[in-house]
Amino acid sequence: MVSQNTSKMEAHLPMHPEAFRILLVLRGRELHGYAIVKELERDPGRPGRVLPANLYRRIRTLSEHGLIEETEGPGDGEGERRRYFRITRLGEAVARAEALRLEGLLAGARDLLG
Amino acid sequence: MSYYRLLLRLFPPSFRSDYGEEMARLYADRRREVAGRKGAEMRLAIEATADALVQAVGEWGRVALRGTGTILREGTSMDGWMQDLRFGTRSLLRRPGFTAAAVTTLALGIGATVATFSVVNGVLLTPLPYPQPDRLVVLRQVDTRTGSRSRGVDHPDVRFWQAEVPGLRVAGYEGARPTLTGMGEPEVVLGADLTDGLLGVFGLKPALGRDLTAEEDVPGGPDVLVIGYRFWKERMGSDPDVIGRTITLSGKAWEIVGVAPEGFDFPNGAALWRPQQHDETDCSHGCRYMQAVGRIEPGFTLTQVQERMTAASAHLSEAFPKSHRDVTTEFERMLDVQVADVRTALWVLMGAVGMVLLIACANVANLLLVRASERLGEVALRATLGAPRTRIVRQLLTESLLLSIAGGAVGVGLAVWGVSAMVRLAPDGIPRLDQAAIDGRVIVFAVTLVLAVTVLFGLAPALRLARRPLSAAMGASRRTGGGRRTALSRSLLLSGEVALSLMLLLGAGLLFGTLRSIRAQDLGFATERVERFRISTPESRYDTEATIRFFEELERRLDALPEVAAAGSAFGVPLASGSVSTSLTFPDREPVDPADRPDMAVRPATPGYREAQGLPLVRGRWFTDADQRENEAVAVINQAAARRFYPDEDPLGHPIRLSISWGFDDDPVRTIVGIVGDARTWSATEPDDPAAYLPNAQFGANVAYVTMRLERGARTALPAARTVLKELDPALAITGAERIEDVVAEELAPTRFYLTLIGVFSVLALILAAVALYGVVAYSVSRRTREIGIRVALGARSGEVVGMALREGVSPALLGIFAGIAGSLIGSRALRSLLYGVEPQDPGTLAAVTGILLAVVLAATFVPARRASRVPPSEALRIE
Repeated sequence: MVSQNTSKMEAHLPMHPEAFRILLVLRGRELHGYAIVKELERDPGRPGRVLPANLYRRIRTLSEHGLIEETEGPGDGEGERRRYFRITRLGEAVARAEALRLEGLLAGARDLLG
Repeated sequence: MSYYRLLLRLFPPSFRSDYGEEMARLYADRRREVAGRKGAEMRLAIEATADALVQAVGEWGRVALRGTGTILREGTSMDGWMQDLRFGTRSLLRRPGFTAAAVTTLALGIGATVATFSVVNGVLLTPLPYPQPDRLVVLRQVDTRTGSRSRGVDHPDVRFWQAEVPGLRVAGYEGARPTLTGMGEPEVVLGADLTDGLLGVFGLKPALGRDLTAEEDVPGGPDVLVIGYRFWKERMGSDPDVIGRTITLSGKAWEIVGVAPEGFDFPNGAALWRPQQHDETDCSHGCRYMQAVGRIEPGFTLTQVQERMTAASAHLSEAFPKSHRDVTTEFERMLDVQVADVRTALWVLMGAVGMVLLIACANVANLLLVRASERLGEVALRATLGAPRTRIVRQLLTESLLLSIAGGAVGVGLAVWGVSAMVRLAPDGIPRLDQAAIDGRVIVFAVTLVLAVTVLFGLAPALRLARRPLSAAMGASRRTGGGRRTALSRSLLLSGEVALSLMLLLGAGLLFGTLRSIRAQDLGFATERVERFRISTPESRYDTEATIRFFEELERRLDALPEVAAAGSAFGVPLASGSVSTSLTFPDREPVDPADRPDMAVRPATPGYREAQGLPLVRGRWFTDADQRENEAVAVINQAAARRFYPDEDPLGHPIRLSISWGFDDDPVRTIVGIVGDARTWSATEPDDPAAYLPNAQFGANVAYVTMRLERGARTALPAARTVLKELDPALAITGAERIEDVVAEELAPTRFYLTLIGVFSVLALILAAVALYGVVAYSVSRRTREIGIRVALGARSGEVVGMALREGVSPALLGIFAGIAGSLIGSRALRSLLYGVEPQDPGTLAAVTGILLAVVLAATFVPARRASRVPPSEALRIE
């Protein structure tokens, strides 16, 4: 059972850095597209701005793989309805696994480079 | 926002319906961030466009692969593409010969296509440079009884339409060439005489001052004018206080009331505009010497305004039956009118270059097919190692895409050069050619072309390769050259190339025939050592008598020049603008209804004109100095008039009456005293109209082309003629000084232009097809060296071997020739309007073209075939 879950997670690794960041900003909260963009762009190391088509193709992929899901959102009931997203439990696990993988990579690199 | 929604259309519908709304909203949010900062807004728009383009391509790729049943690991799909790109680049660089051949071929095809499209785009597709150009129309009078159409309208009609046709803003104009004096050398300036409101029709406002008004367009109205922006800048030194200043035109002072906006020079490069001040007592309804342009006003449609115009025409027909019976008025879009003459030709060129591109694609497909058979092993290996078939197709298509992107990049570079070459080569007659350039639309076209071309040449080989059953691929011997189906595809591609080449060659051949028959044409007048210029005497200083004496004196003095063998002047001369025609009556016949009177071109001429122009005298006599007003009124007709009006009798001695006069009040009954040959007047290809030449001493025209026949050995008489003119009247300016040879050459220029382009295209096609033939035969021979060696060892003669190899190339070529002949029987109709003196299905041209093609086919196949027969068996058998 455990091994099956592991392989399911590993199918998602390695993650594209941007997809990984999206998972991270969605941890513990529900955000709509524009809010995700604003969060992503707070990362000073990120080059350029996040553009609509790029973002939503990643969101689509992440949703299809079950790593994030759509929610009702806070539902202020006023004006245009925006679509909100949050991370799923599989998403949490994959993000953790990716972090571990990166850590391992980093550790290996440090060993090599001294 | 709406722009982004446009971009969304690039995406597959499923993705759009899922996320389109959110994406548009996000874009709007982002725009709000940068609102007000122009540069930032622009940068965002550009970035978002690039983002949408890239992602849409990816998304379509995903959809396409899902269609073929692939499950991609989405998280790594981009990495997969990158991998494909890297792999493809490496694989192409490993075979530099193949890559260079493919890229060059594609670059030639794409370059020629993009260059031609730039011209089509500039001339036919770019809107006119005025506000709401779609609403600009040209008015045209249609005779519903005869179906004849004309752009001529009369002054009272324009006033009537202005008042009675709601939704239409209309202005009438007539080209004018007044002589400007008092500012250096006298000079003829192009201009127009107007009703009023011309700038308003074009949706423009004067740069300074005001436009002309209807109150000024009355007989005896003020002498005011609007000058062009360039005239203001160059001749008036951009004087800000120019309004109120006067300039002298044809001896009269005109007050400047306005300066037209920059770039406005309608019609025909006009630099000044004056009120027409039409005098209706002279000529009212039916004097259709003006042309009219209009604008459909906002809130009206063309159809609505056309309906009202038809009603107005009906009203005019009823009120003025003599001049308006059966006449109705139609609109044509101004752009259509401007490009009417070249539209067909340009689309034909586009079709021709499309064929070249197809041939180029076929060539590259051929190269890929050959290469595919070499790669069977590699592909099979990848398949065995678990690569899904779609992944293999994608990999192969990526390579094709790399090829066409490289070809496209080089091609666009070639096109930049090609467009400037085409513009330089083009005759003056192609309107708006200055608009031809590589602009955004051309780039979009080029990108689309690159993608389409990739699919065209890349998809079939890729699918063929990937679809091949594993076992077959693994078992395929490298010797067999890729199996029968691949060989068949290659043959069919060859046939297609040959067929297209044949059609292009035929097009070139037909245009060549056209050029030859126009050149061989007897134009009816001397085309060598003849010079002419245009001159007019201003009515303000010359009465009719003075005009007649002026032209007589000018002729006498020119005749005396050592360079000049004969000199004369006339109006209505061959291949020049300016002509008069009128209705004709026969006093010695039963009178006919005025509407049924035939038309006759009227050409006032001086005694020296016939010899100077080289018109052959067929019968009777030409004019002499004795043909003055006080003597018998005479006319000389051309052969077209003799054939048409006197089919069964001798025209000499018969009286005619023309309902037109120029310098005198009325034109008398004239006696026909001679017949001269027809002279092609409108163009080198249109037969002459029935025409009457009149002695100008009896007619008094004050505008003429002065024509000079040079003595043998004389280079030019124009400088001497200018001196003579300066002595006679220093305030007169001459225009349009030209050699008839140049005029005739210009007549041929469009045909020569199209011929050159189609010629270049067909030579390109021929080379590509020959290369393909050579390649296919050489390849097939090299694959069969072993077989050939065995045959030779077993005693086959070299002739048999050559024959066997020849068949490889000649059979598909023959099939292609048949297909090409069939295709050209249908396709050459498109050329008809460009041809003259040769039928689209001209058997001689077809035979010649087929012959050339066959020779090329044989040459291209014979060389490798012969090489095969020379291989010593011992060596052939060693090869594996």
